[in-house]
Amino acid sequence: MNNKSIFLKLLIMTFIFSVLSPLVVIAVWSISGRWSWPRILPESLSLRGVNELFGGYSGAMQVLGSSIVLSLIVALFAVIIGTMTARALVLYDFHGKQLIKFGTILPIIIPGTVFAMGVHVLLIKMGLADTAAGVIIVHLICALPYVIKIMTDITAAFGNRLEEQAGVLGATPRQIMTNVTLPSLMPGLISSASMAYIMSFSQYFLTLIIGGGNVKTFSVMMVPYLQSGDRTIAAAYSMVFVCSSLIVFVVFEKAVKKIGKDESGYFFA
Amino acid sequence: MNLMCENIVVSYEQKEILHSVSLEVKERQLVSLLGPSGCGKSTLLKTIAGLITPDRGDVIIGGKSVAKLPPYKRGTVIVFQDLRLFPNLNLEDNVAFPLKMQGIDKKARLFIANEFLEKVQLDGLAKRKINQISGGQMQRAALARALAANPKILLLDEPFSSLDENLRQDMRSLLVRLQKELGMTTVLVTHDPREALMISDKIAVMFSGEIVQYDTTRSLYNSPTNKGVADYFGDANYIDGRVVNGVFESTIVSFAVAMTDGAYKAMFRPTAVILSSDQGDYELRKIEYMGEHCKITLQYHDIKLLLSVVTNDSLQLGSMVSIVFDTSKAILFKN
Repeated sequence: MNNKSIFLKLLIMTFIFSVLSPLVVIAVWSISGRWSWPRILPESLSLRGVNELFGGYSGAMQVLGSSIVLSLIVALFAVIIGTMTARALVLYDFHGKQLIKFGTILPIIIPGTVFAMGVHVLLIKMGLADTAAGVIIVHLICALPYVIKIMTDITAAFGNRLEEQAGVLGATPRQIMTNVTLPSLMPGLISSASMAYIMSFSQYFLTLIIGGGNVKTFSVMMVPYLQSGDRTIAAAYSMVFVCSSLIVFVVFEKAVKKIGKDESGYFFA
Repeated sequence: MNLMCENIVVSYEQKEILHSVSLEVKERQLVSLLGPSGCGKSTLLKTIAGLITPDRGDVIIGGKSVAKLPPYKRGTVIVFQDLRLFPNLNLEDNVAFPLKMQGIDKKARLFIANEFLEKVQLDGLAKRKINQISGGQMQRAALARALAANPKILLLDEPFSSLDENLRQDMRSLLVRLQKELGMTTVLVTHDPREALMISDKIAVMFSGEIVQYDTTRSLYNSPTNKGVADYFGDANYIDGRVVNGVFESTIVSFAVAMTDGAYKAMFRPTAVILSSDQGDYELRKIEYMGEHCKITLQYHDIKLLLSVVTNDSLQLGSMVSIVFDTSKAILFKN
């Protein structure tokens, strides 16, 4: 075995360890009663976390369901708006293009805590504060810069070369969109949808401010346990958080494959 | 179907690229648009296909104006220089793409696609992905896809420029054969005068946004209307002189011509000046060996002449030789 392959193996092992070991710790914590330093294994096991989540009295599963739906809506809108914005920025010339380009990255430059106040006031005036629609809007504000960035890059890479070709071969604009544009952009669409989904799903602060406690998401339920130090329940919530996101990503990929008939795996080969 | 371009003007960012270009291509003809890069030949092609909207002018196909039609309704298919095969489709699906757009069912369109793959000698590769075939095969696939669309006008934008010479020659023969077989009116954009001469029925020479000469290949080569066109088709010798009473006179050659009196330049191609074995006044200054032929440069006072001769060992630098002008091949340009 040469040095290069040893180094590669070491790199992969480090990567697996750094990703998996925290997950293993969380998994073990979620069913532990007491686990104090310096013991390697928990002293006692407990189903307290499992009961809290699946017992039915906390309502965690209903919140998980509605939270997934809310984040999927955010992902859908983010991808539609982001893709169209990216297309306009890459393929068309118009007045104020640079300004809009700069505007799309503003939410990254300004911290959420700062613009939350302004957005809150605006949403109160519009009557959207404390509603799910308001929360969706504020999640979109967070997710869009990333989606636009990803879609701008992939749109620029493809340009409109293939669309021109399809056009002269007799494809109508609608046929071009379904047969050429969407399949070309598919990798970008998957990653930006996943990005938007996870940004929305893990959003705590903005959901709390704009939702005002009326809109309960999984993150809003989970964070108090993390802060209070009830590790068993916090770990159980974290496990559900990770697994549900993973399932959503797999579904994204499968759905996309079915639409695009693309054989190559993007996340999961 | 025949194609007419009438006074087409195209501008990009306030700069006029095509200056009132007119061109008529008769049914079943193969016409080359020949010119240096940046002369507007690709722009004209895209304008015909509807990818560029002209400021003025009209495109008429089969007697009907298509100026207001979008690209997909024009029946003009472009094979681009970069081929633009769809990377997510395999070879037969690429060729079947235009048929799918026409709503032909899967079985029928794959059957037709495979027929066209056979025509371009790609049978057996139908299921291959685009990244699993060579550059030459991609070229054939792009041509097959364009033909499968059954276009009224086939437009080719330097489609062979990325191939090496042998493959390019194969593709030219294939194109000519298929063009004749299918009888498709074709416009080919190229910057290679040899390619244009080899395969076209007629050539339109374009310089800086204008068609400077549009003629059959032979007339173009033998009687270019100006020095620019003549130079584009290869090396030439120019001799300054005057026509007086029907005779061209210069320091080194005189011959009868049917021209009005005045100052002229006489052009001789390198093959129209013949080296003779007698000793003479011309000094052999340079020999460029090119295999079977070589280019030699002769000097007489301040006149330099370029000749193309069959290679032979008796050619010696510095030797004094004489020449004969084949005056029947002389072309005169008025100064």
